[in-house]
Amino acid sequence: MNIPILTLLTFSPMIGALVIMFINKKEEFVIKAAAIGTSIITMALAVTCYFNFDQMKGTFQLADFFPWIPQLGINYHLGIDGISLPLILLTVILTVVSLLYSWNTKDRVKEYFVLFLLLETGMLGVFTSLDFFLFYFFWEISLVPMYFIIGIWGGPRKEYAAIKFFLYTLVGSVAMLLAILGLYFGSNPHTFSMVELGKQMPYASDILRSSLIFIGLFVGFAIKVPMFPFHTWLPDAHVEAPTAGSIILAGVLLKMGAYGFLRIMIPILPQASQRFAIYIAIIALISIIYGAFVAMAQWDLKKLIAYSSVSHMGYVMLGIAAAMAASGASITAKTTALTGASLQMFNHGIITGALFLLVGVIYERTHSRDLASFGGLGVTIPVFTGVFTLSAFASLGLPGLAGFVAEFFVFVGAFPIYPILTGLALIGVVITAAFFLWTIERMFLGKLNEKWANVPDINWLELLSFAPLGILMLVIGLYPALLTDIMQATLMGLFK
Amino acid sequence: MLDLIQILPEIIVAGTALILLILDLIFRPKKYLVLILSIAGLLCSAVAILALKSNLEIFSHTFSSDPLTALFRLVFLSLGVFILLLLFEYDKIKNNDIIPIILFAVSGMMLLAGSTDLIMLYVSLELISISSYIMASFLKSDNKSTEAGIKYLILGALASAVFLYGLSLIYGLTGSTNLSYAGFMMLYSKVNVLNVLATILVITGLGFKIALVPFHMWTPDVYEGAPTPITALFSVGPKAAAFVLLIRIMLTGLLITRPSWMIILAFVAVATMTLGNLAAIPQKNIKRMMAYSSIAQAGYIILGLVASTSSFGIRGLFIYLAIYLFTNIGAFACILAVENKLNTLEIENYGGLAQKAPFLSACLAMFFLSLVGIPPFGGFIAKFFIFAGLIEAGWIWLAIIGVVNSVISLYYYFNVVREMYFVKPIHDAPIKNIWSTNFVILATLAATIILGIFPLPLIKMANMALGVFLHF
Repeated sequence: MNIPILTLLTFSPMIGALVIMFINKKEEFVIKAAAIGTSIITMALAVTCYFNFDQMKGTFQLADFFPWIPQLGINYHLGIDGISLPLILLTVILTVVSLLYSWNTKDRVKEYFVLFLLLETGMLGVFTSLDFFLFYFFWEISLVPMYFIIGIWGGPRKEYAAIKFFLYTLVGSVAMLLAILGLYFGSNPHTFSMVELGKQMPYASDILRSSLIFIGLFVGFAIKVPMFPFHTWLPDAHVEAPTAGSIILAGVLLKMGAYGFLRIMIPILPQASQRFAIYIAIIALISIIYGAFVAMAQWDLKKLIAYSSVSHMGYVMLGIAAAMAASGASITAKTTALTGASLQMFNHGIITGALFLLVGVIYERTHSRDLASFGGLGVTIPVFTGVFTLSAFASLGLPGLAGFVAEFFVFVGAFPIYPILTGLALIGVVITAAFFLWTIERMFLGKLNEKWANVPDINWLELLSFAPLGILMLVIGLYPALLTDIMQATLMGLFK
Repeated sequence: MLDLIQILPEIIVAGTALILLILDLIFRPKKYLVLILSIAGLLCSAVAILALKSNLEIFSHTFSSDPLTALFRLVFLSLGVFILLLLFEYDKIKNNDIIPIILFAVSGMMLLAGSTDLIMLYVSLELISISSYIMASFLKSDNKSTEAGIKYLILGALASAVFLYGLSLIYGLTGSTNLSYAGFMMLYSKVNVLNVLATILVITGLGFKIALVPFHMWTPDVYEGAPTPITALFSVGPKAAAFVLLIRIMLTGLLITRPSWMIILAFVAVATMTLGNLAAIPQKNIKRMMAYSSIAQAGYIILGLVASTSSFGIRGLFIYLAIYLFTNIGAFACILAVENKLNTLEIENYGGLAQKAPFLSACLAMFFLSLVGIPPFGGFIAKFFIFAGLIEAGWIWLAIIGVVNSVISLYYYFNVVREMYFVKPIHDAPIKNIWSTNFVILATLAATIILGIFPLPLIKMANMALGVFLHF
């Protein structure tokens, strides 16, 4: 008998959360240990999936399947391929990191850890489900805990940020729901299966309907990514969210949007994708340049990183747009662009997760994120300076670190397809380098602000939570094949 | 005799009410005893429904005992049980007089669910209405309650008159009081002024009972003034009954004017959803907020009838009503629990409730999520069916307005959640648990979640109920 490993993986955090609900809320140590233990078990399950995954096959693997609501063609169908596996690994790693970092949480501990575990189930479910109905379930389930995490443990404007996040993303979700229903009624026999819909490609020749559905899905995913001009919820949510919330938000939730493009738009609506590719590429370019410029103008460190996310996700979208483009381009170029995009998703999760974690570290000590107030910290807190600089360099795309490889793939792949747009996107790299270097200068170099003379350096717990991310930045920077090998077969399969 | 067996469920409910009236006169029993007896009566009736698996028209085709009737009989019975349970610890009502009236209202709703004859359905509707007027004004010393009763009575009577006029037109046009026969006769004529007028009058009359915009004005005042358990009853019972009636009339008697009533109902639905949701946002009293919320919810339900050309539409309507019953009663049970202990209905007094009463707050938050339509709760399945119906029937613009309204509704529901979770506690008194209210909360929550994840049994029942109309 087969062990339903993906079901175990997806629901193990929820089971942990249910167990924790029955622990007395005064037993904070037990709660924290149980939550972290659960997240480590989940990570172990994800690693098992990794080892049981056949990289040579481009199809869905480790599938769990049983009929759920057969009358409506709804099935419980889980499966992973080269697109979802890296994101699952990202999710489990970042959850462990966030929970470790949250060890010192003091306020409403039980609710905090329960919500994080529920959030993890939602995220994993999005990446494992192959049925639209199920996908939508998990997509929405991942919204609710984040609302509470921002709203309860957030900063001064938390209530505004929480409801703004919820309203914005819900608009996207319901647009997506209508598009899903459109696809359902376009298929024959009616089905919610992503695999089946990918074979049928409903509305292939119906320009009006396929465009409407494309737009519905686009709104849903673009808000999540977020792409300009749908990004305005992101800075608020990030600035107000607690550190661990920011890590998950930037690290995983944004990826759900891009994942939707890869999993749904390209295989199910290839014709519409081709029609709209150029617009997506242009919006991606705007996101890259605009995000970078706005980041440069920020004096709030967290806001700066939030806007750098908008810019970085722009590269992902540029790669995806290139892959969507008309069939004239070579499959190699498309695959390369898509590999870059997938890799960039993973890397952005690791790097930005690390940056948000480090912002949390410095904020806890100084209660300030104002870049103008920092300066000369390199002398007082050398270790922190080191790890922050490493992450910033990875983020700006220094060769040898993770960020570079992915951006390089995107540019190489997108250039033959959109030469001008790709050329212009390179400006974004320069601006990104500029604002990160300037940030390092403002924080660590120059005259020390006397107020921070006695700030303690990063402690072992924080360093421990940072370590997996720092190591991955180096490892993937030097040996990207670790991930690209997983993706290759699946991504090639998209264009057959 | 055979006919009598078919309405045994109604006989049991009405009989229990009559027995209780007499018992109350002679023995003056305690409130909890009367409640237990009446709940027992409702449960017996439920057993009778499950035992009767039939599909026939009885009493010279005035009452149809079919799967549609069975589904809604069960809905109304569970509603009755929940409301009676909520009355156990409701200290504002001390005497037992209200309990038989609730039973009469429930039996009226059950009769209405099966009525296929104009006279029969009008009498059932009045049974519900008159019981409702009494229940609304039951807090005699409270001015708001008296005002609620009077308002409900005057506007309700007006609505009944308008509705009756519509029915008389149907009779005049066809010469029959039987809905199916009238509908059959109508098919020989074309759409004309008279049958469209009859359609408009019926929609207007029932629109009052359902609280559709622009006939909703009485709702907030009545909901605010009535005793909270009765408000919970109003928010589901008369509405659902009027919906069943609307479906029966529109899909049988007035099927001929479908092109007209689809358009009318589409615009009514848009107005109802939008106004209900927007007006709910500034409300400070939670019962008023729930009043506007229930107006908005009725707007979504009407969409199911608009999409009646799709099999998802009518099924969606049934499923929506069933799930709405559990979710809304659950929300009201939470509100009642807070009212009983903190003696407040102001939303701002919910501040920090999550830390004083974590269970209650979590449940209320989940009921609200279900009302917004977020999975894994039942409300999602309900909305899913309605929107699927709209898409299949080609009402895309209506579906878009519908989902936008769902997003708007999130704002005011979660305003309460925000108070409960994000604000520092303002009350010191711990909230004591009350078993009967808690039982209602748990049962409705379980139903909301289970129907959200495993909706299959409900879908099957809806399929069978839909079968009633398939011969048209």
